[in-house]
Amino acid sequence: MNPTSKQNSVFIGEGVSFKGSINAPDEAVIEGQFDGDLTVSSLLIGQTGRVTGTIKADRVDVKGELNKDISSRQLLIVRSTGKVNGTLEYGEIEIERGGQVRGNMSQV
Amino acid sequence: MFNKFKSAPNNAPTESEEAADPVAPEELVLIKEEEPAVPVAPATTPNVTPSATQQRGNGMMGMLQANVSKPSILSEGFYFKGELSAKGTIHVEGSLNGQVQVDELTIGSRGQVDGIVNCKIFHIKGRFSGTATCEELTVTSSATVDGHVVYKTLSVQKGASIKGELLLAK
Repeated sequence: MNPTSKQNSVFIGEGVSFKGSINAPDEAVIEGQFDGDLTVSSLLIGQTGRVTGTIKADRVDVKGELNKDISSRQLLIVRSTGKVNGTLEYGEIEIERGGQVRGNMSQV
Repeated sequence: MFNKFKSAPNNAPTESEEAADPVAPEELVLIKEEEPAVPVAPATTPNVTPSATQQRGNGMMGMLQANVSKPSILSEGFYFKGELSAKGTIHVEGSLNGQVQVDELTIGSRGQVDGIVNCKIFHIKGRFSGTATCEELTVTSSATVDGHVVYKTLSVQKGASIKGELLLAK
């Protein structure tokens, strides 16, 4: 499935830099660079992806980098290549070995 | 020794004291010689070896040997308060309160540790609160972590509850 063709979703490809705010009802896949506010149901940050800002999501899957304020109401997964910095709020968390997490964490 | 006894019977009490003195060091020497001798001929005294090392296991070597094979266990219902330092592994099923310095610390699913932990490998299945510095941190799904943890590598299973700060050591 090509993620660009999904409805209610956003895909930021590798090499693309975005500054601003996104509100997507479904899914956001970020392979490029994102700076700003992001409110989404499901956030997937690819290995090349870098997200900085205030993130609100139900599910977050991090293979790349995620910074600043993060709120993942249901599940936050940090893959082995993932890096998370900042204030974390989560429902459930899973960190694969090698994943890096730095910051304050609290469970919702 | 025996020659001295026979040649100077007049000073028998003092001589016997002198004679008794060299005997004691000689016994010590014998014991010391026994330790290296045991590994040389282990087949002849296989049952003696473990008990002998356990009896003299209060030394550093004994601790190291014992810890390579099996962990020290604080079992359920056991409450420890204070400072704990060891080489090797400690498995906590009971309750531990205080300062811990160890190579490997495992908090079992019923275990509880509260305090300052300094270790290389840190497995949390139960509850941990306080400050920990470790190289390898593993948090399983049944775990509750509350506090400040500094780590080098980390893995957290789904379902674990972490409150507080996680910091990556450089």
